[in-house]
Amino acid sequence: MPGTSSTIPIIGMGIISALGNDLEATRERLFSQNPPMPALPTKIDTSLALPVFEVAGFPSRGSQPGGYSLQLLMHALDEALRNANLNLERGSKVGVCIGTTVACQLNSIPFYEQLRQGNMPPAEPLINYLEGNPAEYIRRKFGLTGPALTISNACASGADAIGIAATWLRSGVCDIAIAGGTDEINKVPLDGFNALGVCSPQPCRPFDSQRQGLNLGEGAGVIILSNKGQSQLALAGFGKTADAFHITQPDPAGTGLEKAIRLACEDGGIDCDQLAFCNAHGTGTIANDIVESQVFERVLGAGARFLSTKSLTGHTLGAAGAIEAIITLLLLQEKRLPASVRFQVPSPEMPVAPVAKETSLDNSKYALSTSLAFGGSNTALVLAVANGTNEPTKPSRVPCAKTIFAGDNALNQEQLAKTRSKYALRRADRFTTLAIAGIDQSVTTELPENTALLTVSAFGPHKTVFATLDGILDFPEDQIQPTRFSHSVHNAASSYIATAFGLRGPSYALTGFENPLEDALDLAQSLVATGQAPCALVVQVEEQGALTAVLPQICPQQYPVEPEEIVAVYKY
Amino acid sequence: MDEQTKQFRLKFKQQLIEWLQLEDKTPEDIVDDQPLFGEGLGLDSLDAVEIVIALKREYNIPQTEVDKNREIFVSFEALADFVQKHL
Repeated sequence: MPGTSSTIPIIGMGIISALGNDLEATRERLFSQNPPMPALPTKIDTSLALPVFEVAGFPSRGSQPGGYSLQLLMHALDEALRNANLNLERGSKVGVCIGTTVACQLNSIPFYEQLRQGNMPPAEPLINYLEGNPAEYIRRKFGLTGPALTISNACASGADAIGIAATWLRSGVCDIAIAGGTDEINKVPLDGFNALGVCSPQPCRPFDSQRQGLNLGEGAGVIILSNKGQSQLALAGFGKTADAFHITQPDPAGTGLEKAIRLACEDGGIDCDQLAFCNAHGTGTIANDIVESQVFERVLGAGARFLSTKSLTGHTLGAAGAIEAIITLLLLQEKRLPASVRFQVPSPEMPVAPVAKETSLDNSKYALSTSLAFGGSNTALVLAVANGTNEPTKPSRVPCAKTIFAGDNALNQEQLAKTRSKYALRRADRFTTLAIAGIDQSVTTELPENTALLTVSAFGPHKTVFATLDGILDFPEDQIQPTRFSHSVHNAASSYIATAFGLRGPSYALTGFENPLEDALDLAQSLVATGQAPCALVVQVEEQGALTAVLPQICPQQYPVEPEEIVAVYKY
Repeated sequence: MDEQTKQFRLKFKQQLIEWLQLEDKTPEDIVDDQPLFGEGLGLDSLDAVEIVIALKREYNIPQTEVDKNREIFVSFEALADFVQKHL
């Protein structure tokens, strides 16, 4: 049933990546005979000989809140607002949800170098980090009054931001939402992904038998969703699942990804065979591409039509889901797909292969974009070219969350040790252990498998971020500990919680400094109200460490983040 | 087993415990001829990449050398012998 009430018009888009610095440049370059090629990084200092896809012709404006990632984001937002012909008035209730990985971690090496020597670190990197939380920055800049959440679900963040924005619109939280993702080439993920053995020393070749891994990229993508908008473009549906399998490895059976795709189609009121094509996550790593191609065959059939545009943009991490959603819409508008760049020889382990030559799409309305992340987080978006508008029926909202655990300083070492042993948390850091201990002490009945899981934290696992920086400072760049890096992302805790409690529903790691808990609780309510989950668990965690200890001295009273350990659990 | 090998294996077990955060394990828990992955010690793919990096860092064994000899991951003994040969 195309055009059901769930379709949400996309009234504006903006994009910047190695493919081009705006929509038209991107559209043109997608089909160019001279596609962008990755090269050694010029914007960061690294000894690793790993090619990356940098944005060209958009120099950094130096040290500013949010760093280069925020500059990329504001560039894409500016285009999206012009594209939507939207003038954001101060005080308007517009929601902002932005995915990122780099912009929500304090991974400044000069800052940490001083801190670990016991010196007072420079204030600027910390202030830029606090003021540069992407979603909150946009809300402040335009004086908006809707929710603002920055999501850090690793490589699925940009797609998840779109799903969250759609959830707000469907549940009546706001009528317009800005959603997107942004990330810059940064030394920490480059060294980390290299340590994990997933970076290719050659230009990446997704789905090819000779693929050697991914190339990082950078960029930003922003879309503007509006319930009341008129547009040819729309988000028809989305699906979000967790694997509850492993911290870095995708579930080899691909069950979670398959479920996310089926949910997205169901949500959009279409059959999977109505999809014209899929813009795959397609990182070019050994494991990802096998799982994805097997799932595509199961869901889309032996004639599955798909490609990965990461061979044109690189893997832009927290921006990837948003950039690829926009590219998917451009391809639907163009009614054709480019040949998969550098794909030559199909891999024998893959039942289906990507499009090998330029392919025209006949009269197709729908396409899929998939995103997979560390920690087993799967997102599928169904994008559409369609005419007309509609206003969704707004569901009634359930009552407020119940605080079931407020464990400020209530978890002692013994309880934490018991938790570690009970849930086999060998590699989990203290941040994750705190979260699981809080749930263990408060959730007494078994949680339904599709329970939504929201973790919310200002600083996230910052001690593990610093431990990763220790590796970068102490060891040669190609010898840092991959386990530390993989646990430094905000959603590492979500992955452990999902595995410990068997949760395979929507899972979001949210972060901010302006009371993100309130918006997270509200989102939990919306997820239940829109039928995406039977119930929701919200877990707030802040851990104490070197950073929270110096915070009051560096920015006294500027940010009301308690330098206290906090574990709180809420359930709807 | 000669004294040197014995000494090396003990040290290497302590290193594995540290690298892989096997906090509830002692060197005695690591049985020489038991599997490291899946069964036995129950390690996984992330531990494998951690070991590969640590061998480069601590023993200067290039990754390409490890990649060519994946059978060394079958047991502690096989891995320890491989490393000892590179001392």
